[in-house]
This record gives sequence, C-alpha cells and structure tokens, in this order.
Amino acid sequence: MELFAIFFSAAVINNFVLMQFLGICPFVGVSGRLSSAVSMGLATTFVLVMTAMVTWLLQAMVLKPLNVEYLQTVSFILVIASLVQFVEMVIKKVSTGLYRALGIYLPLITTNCCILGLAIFAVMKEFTFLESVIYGVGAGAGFTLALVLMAGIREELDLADVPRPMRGAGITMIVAGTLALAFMGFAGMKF
Amino acid sequence: MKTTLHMVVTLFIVGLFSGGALSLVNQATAPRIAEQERLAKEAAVLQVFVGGAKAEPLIADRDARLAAGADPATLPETYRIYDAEGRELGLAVMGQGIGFTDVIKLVLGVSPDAGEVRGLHVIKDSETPGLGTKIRPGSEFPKQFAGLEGGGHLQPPLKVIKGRRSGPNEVEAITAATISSQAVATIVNETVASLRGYLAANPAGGGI
Amino acid sequence: MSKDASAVRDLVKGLWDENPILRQLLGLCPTLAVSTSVNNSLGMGVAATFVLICSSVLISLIRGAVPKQVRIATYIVVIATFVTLVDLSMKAWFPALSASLGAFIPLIVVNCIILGRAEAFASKNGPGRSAIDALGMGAGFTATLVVLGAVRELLGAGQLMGRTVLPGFEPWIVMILPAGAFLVLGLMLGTANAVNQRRQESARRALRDAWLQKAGS
Repeated sequence: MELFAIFFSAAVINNFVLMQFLGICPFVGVSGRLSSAVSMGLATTFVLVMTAMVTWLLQAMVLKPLNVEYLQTVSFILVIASLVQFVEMVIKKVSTGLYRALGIYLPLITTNCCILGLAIFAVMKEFTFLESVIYGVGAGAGFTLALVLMAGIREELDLADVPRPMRGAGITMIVAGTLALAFMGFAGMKF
Repeated sequence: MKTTLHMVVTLFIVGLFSGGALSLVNQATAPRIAEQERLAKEAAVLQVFVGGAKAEPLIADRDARLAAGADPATLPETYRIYDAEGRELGLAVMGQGIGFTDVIKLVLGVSPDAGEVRGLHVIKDSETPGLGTKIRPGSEFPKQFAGLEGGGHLQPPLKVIKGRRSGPNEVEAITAATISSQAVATIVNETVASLRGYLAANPAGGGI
Repeated sequence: MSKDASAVRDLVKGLWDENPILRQLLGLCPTLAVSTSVNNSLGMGVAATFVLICSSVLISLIRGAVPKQVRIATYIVVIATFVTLVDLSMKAWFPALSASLGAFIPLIVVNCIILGRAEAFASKNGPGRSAIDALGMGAGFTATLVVLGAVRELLGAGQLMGRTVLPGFEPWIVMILPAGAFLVLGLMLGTANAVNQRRQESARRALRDAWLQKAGS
C-alpha cells in the first residue's frame, strides 16, 4: 500500500505539473494537440524512470560514500543529459517511426525541470531504490495526465472565441489554474 | 581523431574546473552550513519548553547506531532540556509524518517519563495557508499541547475531536483543518510510543 | 548604431521587448513556484541573474575553444557549477531564504533562460556584451517575478515583503496556492500581449499615415 500511496501522491495529489510547478515549459509548449501530448508524456515518463534509477544509484554508491554531495546538481544534470542522448540513439535505432514522432521533443526533455526535480526530491525524501522508481512512474503518469487533460481542452478551445491577447499562453495558464483548483480536491486522501 | 580528442580534452578540462571550484567552495561553506543547521535545530528544540536553555542528546551514540543499521523507529531523536539554572524541564523529541499536503516535521516536549505532553513546535510543513498552517507556533492549536486550561497536560495516545474537549487525551481540531490536526496527533502518538519503547528498553535515566 | 546605444539596447531589451517570461515564455517553473512573496521573488531573481551573468561571461570567454558537438554539455556543466556555488552560499549565509526557495535553487540549472541565452547570445558574442545581455535578461526576469510576487502576496496575505499593508483585509488564499499562480500569470501574459498588440497597431497606423502622406504629396 505504501508504494501505491507514493505513486498516487506523485501522479495526482501532488501532481508534478499542477501542484509542484515542474515541467511547465513543455506543458505550455506541447499541449496543443492530443497526439503530441501523449507522445511527449510517454517519452518523459521513460526518461523519468531511468533517471530515478540511475540517480539513486549515483547518490547511494558515489556521492554519499565519497562525501561529495555538493556535486549532486552537476552530476545529476550530466546523467540526465546523457540519458536523453542515449534514449534518443536507442529509439532511432529501434524504431524510426517512433523516432520521427518523438523527434523534436527528446532533446527538450533535458531541460524539463520535472526530471531534475524528481531526482532531487527522491533524494530529499530518502526513498529506497524501489520507492524512487515508483515515484518516477507516478511523476510520469501525472505529467502525462496533466498534458493530456490540457491538450484535450486546448483542442476544444481552438473553436472558441478567445480574446486576442489571451490566445496561446495566456488562456493556457487560466485553464491550468482551473485544473489546479480541481486537483486540490484530491488533497488529504489517505491509504 | 583530432576532433574527438579535442572534445574529450575540452570536457575533461571543464569537468576539472567544475570539480575543483566546487570542492573549494564546499570547503569554505561546509562548516558554516553545519553550524547553521545545528543552531536551527537547537533553537527549535529549546523553544518547545518555556525557559529552555540547554539541550543534551539522550542517546549519545545515536548517529553511530543508525549508520550501523539500527531501525530509526527504535531510536527517537531525543534531547534532555534544562533551564538556565540546570533544572531538567523534560525531554524534546523530533517527530515527523505525512500531513494534508506533504510531510510535517515537529518537536514534541514531554515529561521525563514520556507520560504527558508539555509542548509542541511544528518546524516544517506544507499545509494549506490560512487553514492547515494554524498548526504552526503562535496559533491556538499548539497551545493545547503546552498545557490545558484548568491545569494539567495532555496524555497520549491522543484523540482529535471536533467539539469541546472533555478528557485529558482529547485534542480540539482546527476548524476546517481536521486532517492537518489529525496528522499532528498521529505524529505525536507514534513519537511518544517510540520514545516509551526506548525508555522501557533502556531504563536507569537513559543516556546510552 | 553607435556602440554605446547598442549596449544600452542590449540591456533594455530584456526588460520588455524580449522579456524572458512574458514574451519568450522561458523560466516558467520557478516563476510560478517561487512568486508567493516579494522576498522570495527577489531572492530567486537575484540568484538566477547572478548565475546568468557568470555563466554567460565564462561561456563567452571559452566559446572559441569548445567544439560544436559538446557545447551543450559544456554549457550545462558551467551553469551547474555556478548554481551549486549559489546554492551552497545561500545555505551558509541566507538559510531562511534557502529554505523558502527549497529545491528551486538547484533547479536554476534547467531554467531555460540561462541555457537559452548561452546558446543564442553568449556563444556568439564577446564577454562584455554577453554580460550586458545577461544583466538585462536577469533584470527582466526579476522584475516580472517581483510583480507577480507582489500581486500574490498582497492579495493572498495582505502583506508586502512580510509587512502587513492591508489591515483587516480577508486574504484570498487561492493567490498563494498553485491555482492562483497560474491565474495571475495568465492575466499578466494577456496584459503584456494586449499592450504589445496596441503598440504594434499604432506603429502600423503611423507607418501607413506616413506612406499615405508621401503618396499624396
């Protein structure tokens, strides 16, 4: 039950995008179409889970024992940048179709604060390896959920008469605010 | 080949610069950071008793035992608190648990036998501003933990009720913030249970 | 254009025309998360500006020596180094502010503004101009953050910089919550766009009038 609580908390109760403000840039930039939202969400989830694993190992086996925890930021971001490169190469080799669908989004994932945020939080909360992985899955699920919700709403908004200054980022923020209000309803759930 | 070498050398030099610079900065700031953390903890721990002036760890080798793999639940972080004249005021225990939004960290003051609660001081929380944040020092809610009107103190295990309290183990909830109030009570109960367990296993004034 | 005028232009463009938050939509994560009060906004703004200036200057200085393929990795290491420097310094000398800003200090490293400026400007210009550009962008970022923080603190707590400014005002708690952050930023973006569109309209009209006059005479 504990693991499910971690997953649900990361995905819904403390949703990474709507409650913790991580991953806003892709949230605004990529949520125009449902299909791209799903692709971005899945790619990000994959990188999140891999990051959770590698950074946990890095923290437990290198940073802590050698007492160089101040190198955390530098080493984590390098790990993330390398992982994204690696994922890009693997996808390119394995499935050109998938690569073409995700293509532009992959390098963008490096600067997605979601990923580094996840790594830092998992260390702060002193999770075990398994807990970190579940946390990563939950964060990815929450990110995808927020992205998909926003994309669905924005596709509808295309047909609405949004005032000119508010079109694009402005109305996206207002919608996000409403979504955030709705998600507050999940707070306090206990398992 | 030349470009690959160039790439590797560049990255190596940059990495060296980064590692070196950070190592220097770390050496310069680490003692100060540790001192800040120690002062903050001491301030929090002393505040839970009126007139607290000196704090002494109850379990002298706690860090070593935790590093050796002991279960943290059996080794509560506890301090004996003395006033300026050296009289023992009680024990201060660090506790934490999940609140409404995220983790709540607090310091709990108890009598030397952990029988009754003498004070409560929340040091970290992410509760709803204006509602759950009423668990913080300075509000009405924590005052119940320092002492009850009409005399006496709360006796754990605690129960949260919504109306007026009637027994020495009852705590009045914050209006519209029942979950935060319950979270605090749960943390208190678990912390006291852990401390009582430790004191039972290590009688004769604690210490080691 | 004279060298001084172009330097001033580099500095000022970050404040409005190329405002990193309102026009370029960069650095939104810390903007929303940290702007609960003016003090937090100022702290984040100054920290980010410091990292921005230092890394821009250093990247500009080494831009000739870094091979194209590893430039992103190199920039990231440089930025991360300065971020850690700021993080450790804040923990040592401003522990309260460091606690309020929390994980968002190390997250400055993925603030798209910094990597964006490194790629778009510092890697192609001298250190002097890069520093000025960085200062302008940082100032624009900080100013926007502070305005957002002021609105949220005023409406959400009746305070500014921790001091009560509206006694007896029943605060709108939603302003301090995530929902409020999104709403206020959305309105600020709308306002910025409206102001800009009006300026473009009047510029276009002025141009058209001048052309008509020329054609008529």
